[in-house]
Amino acid sequence: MTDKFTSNHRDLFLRQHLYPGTTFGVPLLADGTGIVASTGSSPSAKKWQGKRVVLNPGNGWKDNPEGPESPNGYSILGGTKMNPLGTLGETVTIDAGELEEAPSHLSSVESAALPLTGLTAWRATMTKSGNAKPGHNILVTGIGGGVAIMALLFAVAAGANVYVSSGSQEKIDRAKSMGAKGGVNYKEKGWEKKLVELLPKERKQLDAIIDGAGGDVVEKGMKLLKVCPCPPYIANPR
Amino acid sequence: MTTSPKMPFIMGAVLKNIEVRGSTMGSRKEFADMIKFVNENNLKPVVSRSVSGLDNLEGIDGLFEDMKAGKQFGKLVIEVAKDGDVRAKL
Repeated sequence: MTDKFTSNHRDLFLRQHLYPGTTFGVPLLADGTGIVASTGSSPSAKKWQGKRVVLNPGNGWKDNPEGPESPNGYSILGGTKMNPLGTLGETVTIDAGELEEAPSHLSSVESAALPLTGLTAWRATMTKSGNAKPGHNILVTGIGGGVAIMALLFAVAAGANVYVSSGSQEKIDRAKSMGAKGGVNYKEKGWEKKLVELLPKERKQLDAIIDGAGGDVVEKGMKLLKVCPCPPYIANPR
Repeated sequence: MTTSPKMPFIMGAVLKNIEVRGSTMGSRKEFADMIKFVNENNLKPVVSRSVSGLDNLEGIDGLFEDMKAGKQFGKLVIEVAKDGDVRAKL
């Protein structure tokens, strides 16, 4: 398997030894796409020969909605002693069960950008927020990051009204061109009030906030979120 | 979030029945569901910038600099082989 890889914030932290289990001897990077160059002899492996694929970016978690089943926890590919694999290399050997066919409408560069942030945004937005549905208001903070952008795309495709925040007007404008209903600059004082003005007349509260920054988001967000039955704020570490 | 470990959960949020739900990565099944949704809805991840070559250390370093400065909009990609070159390489 060879081809294209993307760097995540995780890798930036790894390079500074700010991530648990950082080690030498394991390639960096969790995202990868490429063409399967050779396979094992079983039919389930052989069917992948020559296909363009993306890699599941971690191991130890099959399908439990609550969290990873593996007693050793979940291990992400790239740069730590918890997982021997990383994608920054010309080839990688991986279990055939960890592959999905790369979407045919994506270039290889786009495919390489999809796995980790796509997966993280998917779980946070579609599984955990419970609010990515028509007519519901979702705020995605820090638009511009990989997870935030995928959260925006998923929630818009699911029919939700999506709002974004950023410190940059340019990034807010880009998000609007991708389907966001509006955005606010968190560097401006009183951005919460401005956000309320942007919300639709018939629903002046947020149903969920997807956030990867932490800080004072609970304090700010609690004034914006609906009260019952279940207003989640999603923290989503990169 | 990964680097700023504290996020105060204040009493006002308790009184308002706010829930905080931690989330990171996802299951093998969610990975398959995500790829299916991307296909069905023709979604495209946004690529901020890509550089070519595994030995292009300056270029790769530049991607990390983008991230450090928060300049990127979307993903930063390293191309090891151009599309079309791949088979020749093998």
